[in-house]
Amino acid sequence: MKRIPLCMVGVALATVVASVSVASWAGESSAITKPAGYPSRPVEFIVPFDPGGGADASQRVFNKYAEPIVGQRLVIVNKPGAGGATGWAEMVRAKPDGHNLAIITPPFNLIPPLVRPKQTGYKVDQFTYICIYAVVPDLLYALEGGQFKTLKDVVDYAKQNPEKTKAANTGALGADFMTTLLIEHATGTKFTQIPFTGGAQALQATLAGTTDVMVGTSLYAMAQKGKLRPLAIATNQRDPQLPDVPTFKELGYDVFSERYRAVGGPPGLPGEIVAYWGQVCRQVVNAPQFQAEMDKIGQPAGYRDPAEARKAIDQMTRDMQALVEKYNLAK
Amino acid sequence: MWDQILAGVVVNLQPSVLFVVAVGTVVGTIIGALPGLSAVSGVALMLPFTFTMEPARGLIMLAAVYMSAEYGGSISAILINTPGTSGAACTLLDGTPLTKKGQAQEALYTSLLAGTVGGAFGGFVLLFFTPVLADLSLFLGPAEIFWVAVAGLSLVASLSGKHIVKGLIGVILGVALTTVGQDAISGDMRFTFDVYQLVAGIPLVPALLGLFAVASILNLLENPEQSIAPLVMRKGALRFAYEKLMGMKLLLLWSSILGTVVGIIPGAGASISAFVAYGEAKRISKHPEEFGHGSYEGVAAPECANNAVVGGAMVPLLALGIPGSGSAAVMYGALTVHGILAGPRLFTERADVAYTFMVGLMSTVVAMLVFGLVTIRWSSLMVHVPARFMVSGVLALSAIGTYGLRNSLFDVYVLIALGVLGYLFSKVDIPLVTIALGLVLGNLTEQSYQQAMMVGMVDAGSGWLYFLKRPIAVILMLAALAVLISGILQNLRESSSAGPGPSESGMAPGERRRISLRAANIVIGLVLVALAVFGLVEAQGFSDRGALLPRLLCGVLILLGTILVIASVRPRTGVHQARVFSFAGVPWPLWWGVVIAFILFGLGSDRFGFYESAFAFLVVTTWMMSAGEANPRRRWLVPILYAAGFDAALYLVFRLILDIPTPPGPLL
Repeated sequence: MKRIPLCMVGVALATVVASVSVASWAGESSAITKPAGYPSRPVEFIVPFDPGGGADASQRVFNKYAEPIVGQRLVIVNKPGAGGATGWAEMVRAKPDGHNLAIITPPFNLIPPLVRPKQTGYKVDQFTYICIYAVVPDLLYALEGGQFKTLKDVVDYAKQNPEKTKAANTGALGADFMTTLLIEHATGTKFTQIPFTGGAQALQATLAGTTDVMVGTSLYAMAQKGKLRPLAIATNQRDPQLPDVPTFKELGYDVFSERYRAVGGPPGLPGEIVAYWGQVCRQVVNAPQFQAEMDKIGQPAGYRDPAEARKAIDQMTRDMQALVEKYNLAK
Repeated sequence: MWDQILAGVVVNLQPSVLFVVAVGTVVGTIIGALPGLSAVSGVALMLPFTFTMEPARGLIMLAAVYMSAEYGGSISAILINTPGTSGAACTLLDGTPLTKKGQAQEALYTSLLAGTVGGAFGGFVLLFFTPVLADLSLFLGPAEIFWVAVAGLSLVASLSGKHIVKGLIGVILGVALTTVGQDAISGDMRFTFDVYQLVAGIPLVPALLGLFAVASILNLLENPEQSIAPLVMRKGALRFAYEKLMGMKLLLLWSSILGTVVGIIPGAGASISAFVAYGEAKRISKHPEEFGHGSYEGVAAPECANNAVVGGAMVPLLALGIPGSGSAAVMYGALTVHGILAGPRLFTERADVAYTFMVGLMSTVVAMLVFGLVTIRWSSLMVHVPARFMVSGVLALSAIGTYGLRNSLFDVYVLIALGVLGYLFSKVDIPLVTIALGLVLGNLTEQSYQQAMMVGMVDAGSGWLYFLKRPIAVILMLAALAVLISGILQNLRESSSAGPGPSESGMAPGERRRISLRAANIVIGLVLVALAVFGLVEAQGFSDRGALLPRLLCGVLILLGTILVIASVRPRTGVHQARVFSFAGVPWPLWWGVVIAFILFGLGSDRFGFYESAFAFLVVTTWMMSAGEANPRRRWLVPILYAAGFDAALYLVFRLILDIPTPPGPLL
């Protein structure tokens, strides 16, 4: 039997240890297949809303967790205007090399091309959806201590007094305008929608009693606890953070309305870049601290990969289209 | 409450907090002074830095930026006739004449001290009256806000100068510009002509910048030889300003109140407060004729108001979770990211943050004052810069500042377009300040009216009844009426006093080319009627709600245009109408050269890169303005060196420090 020299064993051991540690370190990043040479410079994320708003906040949180994974700076570029339409119109014209992405918040981006195609600078099919990283449900709110304590109160009142229930929204033909139409349709009632510019004004109107109800995200349930009363949530199941709020469905009304926070890019984005970001996205969403932070800002994390995102958003597009046709909103 | 305030004071005296206040103040003053970038931009730019700070500290830093930016805007408004923020748009009306008289420093000190008073008032109100005011603010519904907006618009009477018809035309044009875009009430696309960038409407800051800064530069180019202003460095400037302010205590109080109240209204911010305060100041002044020619009241009132807005905007933000202005909305975001929800829960769950912040606001006022006092002497040296550098520099700075607002090249085009329009309007004596008044108040007026009508239909069966059934609304309506009447009376007094005022373009009688004001008025009148008819035709495609305001505006324009034509054809007020103004002696090649260069700069940015185009623009413009130089080195080398240096400075500040990405070119 040959004696294996001790030094050889030592070298072998060292090699094994070294390769195991390299493998385990590389194992982290090798789980994500990065396209060669990408990204070669900071990646710009167009946020087509004002800084400090909901979409802006969620994208900043996302970028915070994505940056260490991607290894390049992720820069937010705010391009507000027309409920997001201006910024998205710029995005679809950007070079599809993966350095110009955007936050896309369906249904906001779906509505303008459906209702005013000539004045919208993009078409619905021009978006490359990469992933969804948060799913924000819509709720119906009324003033706490006011005449409406439950959804039934609102529906009963609205049925007896058609067009007398005032619902605040953040702008004609906006997302909450559409959701309110959905609610009217499902409950067989007719409200009077009062448009305001922006959430701050709509909130003020409801708190002041100028309007009776408003559609909003779960943020208000937390931020305005004690002032605004959530009557129902437009999801399939109750939100674990809001266990006392019934869903529209369990109350007998088929209202399903959510807003997505998605990462997207211009048309023609290479498949490998889409796949890469899909994986980055999954890793971000899986991080418990990310989920906790998103909960804190009222935008619960939720992952849909590129294919699932596409499917969900296509469904949303069809729903919006049906609403637009039913209420004859297109021009 | 007092123990919480005391705790807040203790925290605010910590070196780390003092440091962020200092940083915020410096950054805010500079960003405020940079034309284009406004207070919101400054707050938004500093937002990411607050994510790693403690929430109260981060919020105080943002408040420092906000507070000092509202002062900083007056620096460029006074010294180079360029509003650094939309809240400073009024300040240049009297700030620039003062600078021309060699009293730039006095004007700057006035602005600083008035801003300190306003900021302190707003902060004081915030600290002690937030709960009360927040609850009161919920009594403000669309009907009340409508009359506040109308009261603001009624100030057109006192702002019109001698010709109320021209002033009315101005305010109507301003409001008309705000109808462009998608109407939030009806969803109609109005006057967008299928240009998608217009759907968001005409952006306010670029429009104001164009109307005032660019237009005045175009005016300046008619006489490029005259320098900007003599700077007289007087030792007693601060004392002089202080004593001036001591003489207008009531005005300062009233301006502070106006600013705070406007700040509380969501959607109304510094720009509205400045115009309202300025108009009010003129209306109640003992020397209204001085306004527009170097009145210290005209500088103090808007500056006091736009700093009082800061405290006011924080009231609904902290107490109700409703941000009272754009900058407040960013601060709302700053809190949210830390998991702190502004609103009713703030005072119950994180009162420490609330009180630390409110006390901190007072320290931002002090910091703004200190920094201002120290730097005014240096900043006023800016007026010594020769015109050829000033013109190209201000234009380039305005362009990049405008771009940085929404990262939109379209905004730069708006800047240029409104600049040319403003120049044309000023040539026919349509007061730019009335156009600005319309721009600033148009949306608020229309939307609050429509909202009130819609709510009124439900609540009272008719919109009008709703207006009459709300006591506060009725009071405000009477107040608006009072403002209108007193403004008209003041206007009549002004018109009947001494003869023609000085024309705004340089006068030199007896040259070849003259255009009579009569002819110009007739042309204007006809153009307005044509425009109004066009508007009516377009409005046929709108819904009933969406067409209401456009139809009203067009109707009034037809009326005013006709009056103008008739009055000019048969001059009854002979003295005014006989005035002529001359275009002779204007270096047209230079004027057109600069305008075309600026337009090409805007267009070229997309294709060739922003900084590359800026360099070319700077070289060409400075070269054109140095055409009189005999020394070839001065003609060629100096422009190139200046352009390189200035462009590099722009790149450093905007790209490297502020991180504003611009359209890329081959090099940058």
